[in-house]
Order: sequence, then structure tokens, then C-alpha cells
Amino acid sequence: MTASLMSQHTAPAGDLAAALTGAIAGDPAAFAELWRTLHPPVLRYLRVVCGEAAEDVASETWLQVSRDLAGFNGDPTSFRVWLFRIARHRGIDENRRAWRRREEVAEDVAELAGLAGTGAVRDVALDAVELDGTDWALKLIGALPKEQAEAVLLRVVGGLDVADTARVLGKRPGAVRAAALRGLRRLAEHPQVQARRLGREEG
Amino acid sequence: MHDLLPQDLEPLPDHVVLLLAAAAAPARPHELAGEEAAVAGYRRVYGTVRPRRRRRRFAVLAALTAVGVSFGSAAYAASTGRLPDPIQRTVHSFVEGVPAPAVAEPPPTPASAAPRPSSAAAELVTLCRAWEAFRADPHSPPVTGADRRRLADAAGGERFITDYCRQLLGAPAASPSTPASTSASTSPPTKPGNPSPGVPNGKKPSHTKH
Repeated sequence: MTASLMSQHTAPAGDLAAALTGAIAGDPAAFAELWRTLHPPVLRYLRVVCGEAAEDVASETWLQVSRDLAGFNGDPTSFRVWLFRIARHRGIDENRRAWRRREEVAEDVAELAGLAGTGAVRDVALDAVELDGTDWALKLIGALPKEQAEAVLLRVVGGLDVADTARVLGKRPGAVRAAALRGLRRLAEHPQVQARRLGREEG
Repeated sequence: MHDLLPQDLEPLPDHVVLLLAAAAAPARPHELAGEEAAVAGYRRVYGTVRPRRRRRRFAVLAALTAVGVSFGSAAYAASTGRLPDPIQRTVHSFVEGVPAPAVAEPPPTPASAAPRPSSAAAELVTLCRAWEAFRADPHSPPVTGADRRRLADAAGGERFITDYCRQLLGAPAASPSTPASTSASTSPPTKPGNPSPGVPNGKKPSHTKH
């Protein structure tokens, strides 16, 4: 079952290597291939790192990659690590900028709080019916403590192993392993996850 | 291994596997909507020069080569050829990752890309200095007109100019290439809180040549 659900990452490794080689050499078609394979995971990861800004930050990430790709000399795994590292650092930068913006416009925001509040309530109310399975899953993972969420996401969505995840996060593999474990346990105990299981069993 | 308990070796519960599989499901159309813009960006900035990195990069590579001699092969073997499928059958394999493949590839040598013309690069550095000067001191002349457009083009947009210039001018750099990565995974732990060992400002693994 698991394999059939994972088609996003099951593009043959050779294809990705070929795309990477082409993109390094300056071939836009090869770059497009690389992007199609790896943009969705980057986007999903960034949604957890920097929320609403994920799309913009992903664009910045790919721009930096595009600029620097000519000098890249690793394999597809190294490329994944590099890509997610760039994404992560840009996401963190974006969070800092957003924090500053929030401070600067605190008063405006306070004025708008009433309006925004109604929107937020509505979103929560619609979550259950409108989110597809992927959004639902990402939302639950994103609700974990950040360290756990990142470890689980880079493993699952990013297709990285523990050592590579540790390289992206700048942590020791042991710490990443422990964070992933804690995250998984929390997810296993989450009422919504349990409920979804029951729902499937009944259906 | 010491942080694994016996129950970690049990299979992941089905409902968690479903959740993880949903998180990693194939791309939805809206996630692929930006392809055209991304490729346009690639065409625009591919190979854009970042001249100030070179000396530092050389030093980093030299240091990494030394490290790589002892750690490179084994770590690289462990990091290549693994199955990308991220959903594993057990918690154990989930948190441990996939075993190293039988066949190791040789560590790649530092890239030896042909030098690019550097006059355009030097000009960008000059422009960035002016940009930074104006940011730091309102009495400096602002960067406007064609110069500003050049910076925006190089940076990928007006709003990225500051970041771009910060990187261009100030960046301590490390290589994102495999020797750097493997040494990061095998070297002693870095200080907690540093988001990116080997990338001192936590931002830009540089490997650009000129």
C-alpha cells in the first residue's frame, strides 16, 4: 500500500539525475523536470515553516537555485539537501521579515482584527469539509512542535533520510530521530487521526 | 540506537501510515501552477555571477578536502543510492533511514567550471555597494534607473535586491557539494541553534563559480 501511495517520489532516480545534470548545464526543459518533481514537496515543507508565505518563499528558493545551479556538483540526494536548506533559510528569513512587518503595522492590524476574526472562524469551520487528505495531513503535521514537524516532513515529504534531514536542519541525526519519533507518537494519538482511522474502517 | 525503545520497532500504525501517505501524495494541480514562472526565472538568472565568493570558497574546499579524505567515502556511500520512498514499514526504519547501498560512488571532485567573464560581476558588486551604502546612509546617492533595474534583474526582483546584495557582498560561504554535506553529517555536532553547520550565516551554500 505504501508504495502505491507514494508516486510523487517514485520517479526513477535516474530521471532525476538526468534532469539535474541537464539543469546544471543550463537546459530549461531539464530544470522544469526538476521543478515538477521537487517543487511540491518544497511547497509542502514551507507551508509548515512559514505558512501563507510558502508560495513566495518557494519562488525565491528556486530563483536562488537557478542562479547557483551552474556551480552545483553533487548527486540528486545532495541536491535535495541543498534545496531544502535554501528553502528553510529563506523561510526563516521570511518569518523574521514578517515579524518586523507585524510590529510596524501593529496598529493597522489591531483595527482589522475584527474583520480578520470572522474569516478565521469561517476557515476553521470549513476545514473539515474542504481540506483534501493531503492538506488535512499537512495541517496535522504542521500543528506538531516545529522541530518534530520539520523532522517528519523532511523525512516523509522531502524524501530525505535521517542523516540528510539532520544536514538540512543543522542538527545531529540522533536529535532528528528523536524528534521524528515524538512527532509520530503524537500523530498516532491525535484524535483526528484516530477518528479518520475509524471512519475508514467503517467505510 | 540508544534512543530507540523496543516499541519503536513495531510497524507504524495504519492510521499514521495513511496520514503520512496523504502528506506525501502526488502533486495537486495548484502545486504545479508556477512552472512557467519558475522556468522563466531560471532562464533569467541561470549562471548569474557572484564574484566575491571565490576566495572563501577555495579555502572552504581546501579544508573540506582534508576532511573528505577521512570521512568522505564512507559517509558518501551511506548517503547515495537509497530508495527515495520515504514511507517505511516500521518506526525503526522511519527514524533510522535506509541502510547504505552496497555500491559506493566516488566522492565528486570540486567543480572546475570554466571561469566566467567577471566585468559584469564586478559591476554588480559596485552597484550592490552603492545599494548598501544608501541603505546605511541616506546621504549616499540612491541607486536608480538602469542600475537599479540591473540589480533587480540579477536579484530576481526589486524586493530581493537587499538580500541579493547582502549575499553578494557579505557572504561567508560554504559549498553545498557532497564533500561539504557529508562532512557536515560526520563531523562533531555543531552548536545547538546553529541552523546550518558549514554555512555560517545560515543562508547560502555557495558553490557558484565565475
